[in-house]
Amino acid sequence: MAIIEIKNLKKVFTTKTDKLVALQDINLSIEKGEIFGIIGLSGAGKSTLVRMINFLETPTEGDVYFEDKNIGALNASELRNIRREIGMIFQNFNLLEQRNVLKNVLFPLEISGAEKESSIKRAKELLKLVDLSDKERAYPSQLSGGQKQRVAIARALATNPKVLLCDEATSALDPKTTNQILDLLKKINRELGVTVVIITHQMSVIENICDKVAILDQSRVVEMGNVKEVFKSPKSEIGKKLIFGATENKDVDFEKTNDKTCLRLAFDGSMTNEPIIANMVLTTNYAVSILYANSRMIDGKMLGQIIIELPDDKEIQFKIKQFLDSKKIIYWEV
Amino acid sequence: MYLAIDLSLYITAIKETFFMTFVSSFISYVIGIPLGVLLYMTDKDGLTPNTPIYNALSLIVNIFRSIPFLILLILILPVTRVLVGTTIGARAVIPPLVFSASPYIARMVESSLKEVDLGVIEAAKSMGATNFQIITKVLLSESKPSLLIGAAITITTILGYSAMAGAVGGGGLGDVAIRYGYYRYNQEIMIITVVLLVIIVQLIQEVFMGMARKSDKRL
Repeated sequence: MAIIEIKNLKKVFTTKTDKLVALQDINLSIEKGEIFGIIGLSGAGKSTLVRMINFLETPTEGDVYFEDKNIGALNASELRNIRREIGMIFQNFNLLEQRNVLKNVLFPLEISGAEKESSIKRAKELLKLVDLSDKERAYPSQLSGGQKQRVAIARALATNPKVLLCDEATSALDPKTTNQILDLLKKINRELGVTVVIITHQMSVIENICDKVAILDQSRVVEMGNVKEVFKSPKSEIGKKLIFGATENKDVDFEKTNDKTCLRLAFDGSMTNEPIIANMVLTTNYAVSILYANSRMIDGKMLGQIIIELPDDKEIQFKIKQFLDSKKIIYWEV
Repeated sequence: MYLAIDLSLYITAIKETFFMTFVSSFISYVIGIPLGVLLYMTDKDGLTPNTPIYNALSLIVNIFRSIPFLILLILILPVTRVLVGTTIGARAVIPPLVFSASPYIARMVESSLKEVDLGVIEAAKSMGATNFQIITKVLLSESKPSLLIGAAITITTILGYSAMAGAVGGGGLGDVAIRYGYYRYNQEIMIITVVLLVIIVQLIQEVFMGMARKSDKRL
């Protein structure tokens, strides 16, 4: 059953001199219990889209349904109640700087009029879930970025929401912390059954935890489907760009010359400067041949792909894949 | 010397100065905070934009802020008489001080609230907060250090104004400075009152800045 249903959504921003269409013809159906990713370059309208799910932005046209309730038709107090069922976390964490960690988590319970004792118990449970029990009394300024985001996650979950919206939640974090936050989101999805909607410009985020993905470009959804499918053969130009870093008119299809197994490694802009191939050779003790390599800058991020030829030895193949997994490199056989 | 003889004179004057400053500061804040919140809320980037209300409020605030204090003090004499029953002495200075300080405080509050990160307000909205909850639990609490710094500036300014009221028969240290120091050419009393005023301003400034530092959890 779809928990969130977006129908013919359109958003136009009107300035003094201009009308800017931020989003149009958006139709999405987000199923209960899945992790749904929405990816696009900056300015594609992703943040506006996620804000229309809980009506922080009002759509110009179209409807958003949450559990079959038309959000646009609700009155102010009904809308506030729905918002308690839709948690949200942000790129800049947005914690209350003058409240300590525990009181930040208590905030949504406080404003919902929840009873104090049970609220404190709930807040402490959540801090345990995000592994910050020892930081109860700390203030946000004393925490690292990853810790701040974990407090924000605990806070967003305080009112037992059915959905968690993540607006570029890992964009301000380093790759290691990003992976920790993604693991936590996965855990929340699996253990608490919370549907997660992720807005990002990082392909690795989609690849790591999303079940489904929608690719936004120039205010429209240009491609949508299961992550594995989309990654294998992206159809849209922007999808190819994001996944392969392909140039606009040069197709990245690669012709095999023999029947050896090859791996296509995709670099999505989140990698550090680590010499991956060299390290892989050192770790696996097998000198791979690189058959194809291509990379380019998109949106200030290095994107690209490398195709390597695998040996026939299954054990070495396994070692190579294990190494790539450990580095969270996206790859698949071609 | 005058210092010993007139000790009671200074004590009464200091008491009056504190009375005028703190009573009018308190009343001015009671008026100024809601006014500042209203300005913030109705501003075009506020939570409930309302240009006509904002413009009207803004105009009234600016009018009162542009009238020099001494002129305002005389202008509202009839109002003062109705409100406190007299037009001389320390009590009579409170209405003009309030009229003059409230709009000033409203602007200070408005600017403090504007320092609050819009992202935090958005987060509160996403959690289902009402506008009233956003005002009390987000805007005013998050801007507390900034509001206290504003209070240090405002209260010392009110103290300065209260001294000015001495010129037209108000009480306090300003009154002593003008009557004894200026009209009677008694330089000693003049210097003593000025030194006392400097000390009081320093004190208020330090106390409020200390409170602001202590309440700020941003390090």
